[in-house]
Amino acid sequence: MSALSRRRLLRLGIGAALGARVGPWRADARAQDADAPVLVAIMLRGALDGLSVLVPHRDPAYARARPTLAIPPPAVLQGALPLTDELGMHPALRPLLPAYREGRLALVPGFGAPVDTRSHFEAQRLMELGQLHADRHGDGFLSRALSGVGARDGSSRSRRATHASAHLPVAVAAGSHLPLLLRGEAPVLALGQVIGAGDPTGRERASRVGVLSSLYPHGGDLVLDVGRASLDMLRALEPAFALPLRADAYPPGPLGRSLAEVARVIRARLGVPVFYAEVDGWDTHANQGASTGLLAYHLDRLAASLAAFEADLGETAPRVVVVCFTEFGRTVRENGSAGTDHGHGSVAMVLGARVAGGRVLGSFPSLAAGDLYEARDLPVTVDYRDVFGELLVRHLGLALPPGLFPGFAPAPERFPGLVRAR
Amino acid sequence: MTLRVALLVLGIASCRGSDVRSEAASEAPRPAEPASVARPLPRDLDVDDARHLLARFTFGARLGEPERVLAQGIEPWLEEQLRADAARDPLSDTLRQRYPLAFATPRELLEPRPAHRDPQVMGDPAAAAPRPAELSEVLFELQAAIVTRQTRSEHQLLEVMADFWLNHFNVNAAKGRVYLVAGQYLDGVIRRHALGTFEDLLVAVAMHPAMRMYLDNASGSERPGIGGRASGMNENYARELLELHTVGVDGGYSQRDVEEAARVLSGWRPVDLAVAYSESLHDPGPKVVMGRHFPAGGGMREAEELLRFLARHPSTVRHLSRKLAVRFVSDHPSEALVDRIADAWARTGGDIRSVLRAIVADPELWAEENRRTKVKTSLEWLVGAFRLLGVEPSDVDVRRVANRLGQAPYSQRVPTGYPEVATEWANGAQLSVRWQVAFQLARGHTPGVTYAAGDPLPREGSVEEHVRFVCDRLLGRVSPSTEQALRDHLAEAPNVEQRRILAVAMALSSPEFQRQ
Repeated sequence: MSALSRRRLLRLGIGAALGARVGPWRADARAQDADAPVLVAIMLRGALDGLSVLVPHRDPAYARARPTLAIPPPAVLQGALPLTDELGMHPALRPLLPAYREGRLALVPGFGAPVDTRSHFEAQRLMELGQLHADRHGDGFLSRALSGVGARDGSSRSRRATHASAHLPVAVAAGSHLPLLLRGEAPVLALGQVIGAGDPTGRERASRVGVLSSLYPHGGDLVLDVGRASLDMLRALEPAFALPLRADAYPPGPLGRSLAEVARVIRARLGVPVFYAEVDGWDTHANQGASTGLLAYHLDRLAASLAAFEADLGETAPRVVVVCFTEFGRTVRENGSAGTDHGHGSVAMVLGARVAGGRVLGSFPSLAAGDLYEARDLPVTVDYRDVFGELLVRHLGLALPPGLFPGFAPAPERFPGLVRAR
Repeated sequence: MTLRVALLVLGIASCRGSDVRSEAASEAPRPAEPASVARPLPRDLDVDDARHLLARFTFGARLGEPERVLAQGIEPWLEEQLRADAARDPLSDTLRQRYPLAFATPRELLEPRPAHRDPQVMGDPAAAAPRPAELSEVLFELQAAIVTRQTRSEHQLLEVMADFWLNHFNVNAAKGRVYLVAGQYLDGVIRRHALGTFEDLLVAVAMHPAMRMYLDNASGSERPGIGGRASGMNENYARELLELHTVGVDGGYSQRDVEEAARVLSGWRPVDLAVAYSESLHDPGPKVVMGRHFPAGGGMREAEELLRFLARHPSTVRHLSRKLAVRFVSDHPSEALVDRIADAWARTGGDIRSVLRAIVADPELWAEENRRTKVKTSLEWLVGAFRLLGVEPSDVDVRRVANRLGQAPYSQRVPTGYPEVATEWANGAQLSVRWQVAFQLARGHTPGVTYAAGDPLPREGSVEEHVRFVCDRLLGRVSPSTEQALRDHLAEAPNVEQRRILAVAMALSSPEFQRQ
């Protein structure tokens, strides 16, 4: 049966008829997960230059600070894409313009963490841990947030009748490493760690899972328990691996590949609520470029990958929210190498049908020297913990555990207003 | 006088290579006489006992090694291990030739040299121009040297203790300029004193630039002190000194003690890749740290006095005894065991050899409920696999495997070092990666590893013979389900070569091989 006709049948709710043909999953499990919200967190590692994403083209201080890097105003060729009267979007993000115009994309200037460090590694680590100081081991905040997730309410737990869904991971990461963000108690899986991941026929995986299952036939001590749980998670995801991977629909590069893998698992409608991917290349200390060039290249890849992702999701798209975030931004003034250095506040992008989009949240910070952080950077005006707090509570419907962000309680009155009221 | 003496005392590590001489530290560790605290080992030992001993006190038994150790006698084996002298390791020459950057002095590392080895730029003429070694090249050689030594050295217990101390006195060689002094820290401080006395080791760590430079770079814990950045850094070190290196988080110290300790340590700072003392920066007033008084005008002497005081403090003895109990006996050692180890420690002035003898002689180590109940760390798993299979770790990309497994040597960011307990290493992600590496290794597909696929399984033999080989010779003791799993799946292998490979992969993936 072709993908197209199968899609039509699914839309008509006749998924059950197909269940037997595509894998050992059960229709009833899928049906009630059809509405389950999904959050996809994409970490842009390397400090994204928010000032090139959201462009204050009318502010004379902008062009003064960035003689070679400033994005021209909308009227000019290759100028910023108009969003509001004052603000434009980098032209390389054009694939996301329809989403903005249709109210599915929101931009959050001043996004960041109130930490001093300008070290990528430290800032990423602190952000992932959800802490402002951390010189010891710790868990990722997303793992903490998900640790209580088995069912979002009592009723859906009783409907989790299938063996498969009881063993699902609560988060799936694309790539071969689990990020610190997801390290902790919550059962999670990195797709790159799937045994026999490279084999599209699935035969190698089936054979390996068979061998390992006989070595870990039941629980017992910690090793046996963990081995068993790991294999259970793999088996629970197997229906997803049976679906076609539509990598060709994405631009080349690791992000496209990651999102194709993520989309496939989402399309399988197994009920996994959280996904993670990452992409680097944002650390543009030299030759950053303006409308074209190094940063533009990465922004284009990002936008095109996200647009392809939205299309690949098909009818599962409406319940997916994507948040693209970075550890800090970059200096307002360009440096002597036609690039920018480590800064402070940046821009987050939040995309999805449930997003209160088509706008720039909050106010754009002033570029006046006196208003800059340490006289060089855009300030942080939106704490990343409020952004994630809102997405976890209002989109995923989670109750936040008290220790989610040590020393910080996400408060609804501080939520930026990203998620549309139902 | 003061500065010059200080430099003579400490700093000339940068000139003398790995042969660090410091008056603040003791002379080369003398082979200690067997301490009178040693209790007799259990009698009538068998192969399983030898296997257990090797599992805990080496990086993993090689093929036939339990039998050899049993034949030699466990006590003679232990004494032979304890006689190891880091300065006289026959492997050092081989490693020095293969990985010169791991043994170079900072001065040598900073000098332009012919482009040594850089796989990314092979064949690029510009890269052939002489230039100083880069951090990544030095780290690469450091890590390869560490893993090679752990795999090949006959002095396993020395290397196990070096690993323990490198985690206890964690330094991250992957940041800042620490890489310039990391090789010397490892050889001249950690390995040199690994089987000596704790007190000498503590002083040597304190007086080596690596720890100061590392803590200086470690942000997130650094807060500016009252006297500004330099004093902030000393407060940083004072805090880690108390919390991690000596008395421990429950050791009974206060924030005030941290500040006072920082005052005692004032005047010392890393200068030009050494640690130097400057009287003008030293706080001359009287201080009190955990009840120990330092009268005014103590000067340069105070730091070493503080360190030796802390080394001998009962809380330190208990803290370290517990860590050793966890490392060698159980993730949840009894208080009585910790007491006994602390006793041996206190009676021998923290002589590590004597403490190890006491642990090996302790009945709790040999109790059935403490066998096969720890979980190997990634490095122990990987090096253990290398030793069991007879693999020669080559140079390129060993660290990539170690990175995938989450325990690249010398790259742990946080001062607590890599963790030791099962709950940190037994998780789904870790196990999945180990399974992947197991299958890759078994096929001979791991880059940088010289290994003939399927070794050491006999090249000929029936399914049952191969099953027995894995169960009895590779793993030692297996559950019925592992044995049956081997039998079922090896029988399905299409040919002997595939069967041998599958046997090795299953052995390394098995629950038995994760346990320690």
